[in-house]
Order: sequence, then structure tokens, then C-alpha cells
Amino acid sequence: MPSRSIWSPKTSRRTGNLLYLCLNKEENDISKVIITLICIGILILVGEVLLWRLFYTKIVDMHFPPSLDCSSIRFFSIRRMHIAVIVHAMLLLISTLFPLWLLW
Amino acid sequence: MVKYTHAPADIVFLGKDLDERCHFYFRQHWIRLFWPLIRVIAWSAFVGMALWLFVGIFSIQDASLRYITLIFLAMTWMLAHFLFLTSIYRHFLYIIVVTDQRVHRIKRTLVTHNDHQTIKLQMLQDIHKSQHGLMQNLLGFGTLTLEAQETVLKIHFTPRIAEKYERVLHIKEVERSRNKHNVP
Repeated sequence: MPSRSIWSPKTSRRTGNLLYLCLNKEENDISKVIITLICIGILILVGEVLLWRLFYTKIVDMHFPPSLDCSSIRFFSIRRMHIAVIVHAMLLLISTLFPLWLLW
Repeated sequence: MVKYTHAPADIVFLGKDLDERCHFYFRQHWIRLFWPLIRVIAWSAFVGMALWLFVGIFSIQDASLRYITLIFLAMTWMLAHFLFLTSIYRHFLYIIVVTDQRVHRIKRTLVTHNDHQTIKLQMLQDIHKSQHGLMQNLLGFGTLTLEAQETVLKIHFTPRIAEKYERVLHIKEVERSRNKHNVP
């Protein structure tokens, strides 16, 4: 199948042109890339949800008010931890899938 | 002056008696998360360097080899982050609760461990704190050792150990004097 790009692979690979790598994906490559990225994305989400559920089942039967907390880190309540885990999952998704898409 | 307040009645955890009142609770010092943080940074640097070397500089021409390399690096990156997340969860599942009657050490992990060790304040024979090394003295953490007749409870990485030591001593003395007055 002919390449859609105007750049030659040799030149662009040598100069490390990420834009070339991003645009110069052949059609059969694109479907393969998308399926792989979706699989990795699902794996990340399943991992994050599984770890959170395991943590939540262990911590849910212990209720302590924040006023009695004498730890060195007092910021993270259960709700704040949940928000932090969602943010972490989003950042992990972006930081894994975006470079993979670029460098495929 | 440390303010000693009794907790509201809605504090719940497994192993707590109904008439037991919580004074305070704490987790280990944040320094325990330092090594997992260093580990995840090192793994991330390794993945970044490997991407730069194999995909950027040497630019693997073989499609399948490139595919395998990218998948391997993505999995390594994911695993490093999941291990870091597990360390954080484990840190939050290790809780020491000091009540008017007992000191509870609740140590759980995500899957394998579920420990609960308690020591009665009445039975306490000796309490001592130890801080060894520059880091422990600079950051104010250390090991709190509670000794009863046949039990020794060591609480490592206790944050602000001097304050905790004073508070446990104070609670013990208050409870001892209360029990003396209650004896007919």
C-alpha cells in the first residue's frame, strides 16, 4: 500500500520526526494501533479500579474523624484519595497512550 | 500545651469495645513513601531512556520488533505506576489507634495481610522512644516501643514521636488515676 506522507521514511526516521511517525500510518496499521491502544487503555482502567476496590473494601470498616488524625500526611481523606486516583488514572492513560500513538 | 479531646461516638473499627473512647490515631511517617517514589521515578527514567534509545536514536526498522518494544515499555511503565499506587494504599492501611484503654495497631495490605495487635494501657510496664540517625532526628520520627508483661509492641516510623510519647504517657497516667479512684 503506498504511503500517504510526502516525507520519506528514511529521512524522517533519521531526524526523529514525530509528526511523520504520527501521520504516516498505513490504513491496516491504524486499525492495529487503535485496537492495541484500546486494549492497553482498558488494562489501565481495570487495574486502577481493581486496586481501588481492594483498598476500599479494606478501609471502609474503619471510620476516623479528621480532627483526631495525627499523621504526617493529613490531606488525604477517602473522598480526596478517590479524586486523586481518578486523576492518576487519567494521567496514566494519557502518558501511556499518547507516546504509543506517536511512536508506533 | 497539648489539648486532649475525647472523640465523638461514631468512631468505628474492628476490635474496638463499645465503651472505648478514641484519643487519636496516626499512620507511619511520609518518609516510608520516599523509597517507592524513588523507585517509580527510576523506572520512569528507564522507560524514557529506552524509548529515546530504541525508538528515537536507533529507530528499529522491523515493524514487529518495534511493536514488541513499545508494548514492553508501556507494560513496564504501567507496572511501575501500579506498584507505586499499591505502596500508597498500603501506607494508608497501616493505622495506629490510641484509645483510653488500649493501643491498636491495625496493619492491612490489599490482599495478603490483615493484622490487628492491641496492648492494654493498664498492662503497660514501660514505654520508650528511639530515634537513631540524622534523618530520624531531623524529621522527628522514630520507633515507639510499648512493653507489657509478655507483649512488646513496636511502632516504627512514628511521626512527631516526642508528642506521641508524651500523649501516650499522659493518657496512661490519667487512666491509672481514674482506676485508683474507682477502686472501693
